[in-house]
Amino acid sequence: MMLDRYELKAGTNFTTFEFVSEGRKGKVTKVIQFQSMDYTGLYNLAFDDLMADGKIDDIVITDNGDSEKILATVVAAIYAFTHKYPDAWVYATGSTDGRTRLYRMGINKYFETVQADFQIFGDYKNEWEWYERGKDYQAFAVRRKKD
Amino acid sequence: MKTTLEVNKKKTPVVRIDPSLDKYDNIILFPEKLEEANKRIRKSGFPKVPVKKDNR
Repeated sequence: MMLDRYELKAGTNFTTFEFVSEGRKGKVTKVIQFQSMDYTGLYNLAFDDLMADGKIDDIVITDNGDSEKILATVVAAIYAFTHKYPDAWVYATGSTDGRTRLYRMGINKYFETVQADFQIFGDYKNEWEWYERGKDYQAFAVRRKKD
Repeated sequence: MKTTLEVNKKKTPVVRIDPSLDKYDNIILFPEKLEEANKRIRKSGFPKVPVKKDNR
């Protein structure tokens, strides 16, 4: 995968990642966390800004003008996480409709690349189905394809 | 920070290991997001391969 992205740092367990977004509003540290969900083997993908005091800003929309590079970096983190945990399912849903739409745009943009390595599912009206472009999914789940 | 870990045997990006991030291992950084995700997944259930025949 040769997408332009930021350098990623990971904790030893590969469940937390960090990178620095650089754009028109300066440098913003972002944290990605794969969070264990109520179902074993299912991990929620969450990411947002890390403020200077070390706290997480869960609300702000930075609008640093680098959303594509950020998305590519998040995709890279999914690759790294599922390399470490090949049986894991990664789940993603936006905290707002706008963010869910952003995820959908990201999947659509990298669909061809990602589909070669992952099974991709969409939650449409509380039913899982193979992901198709153009549908308004409420959530997404991916699983690494087996070699 | 330690060394760069080469995990790029097959399409997996190079990631720098930073043990300082381990402090987040037992902390839920985005509790509202996790709660929302769990709430939603209770409605749709664990993701499963759809029954429809498909070569994906």
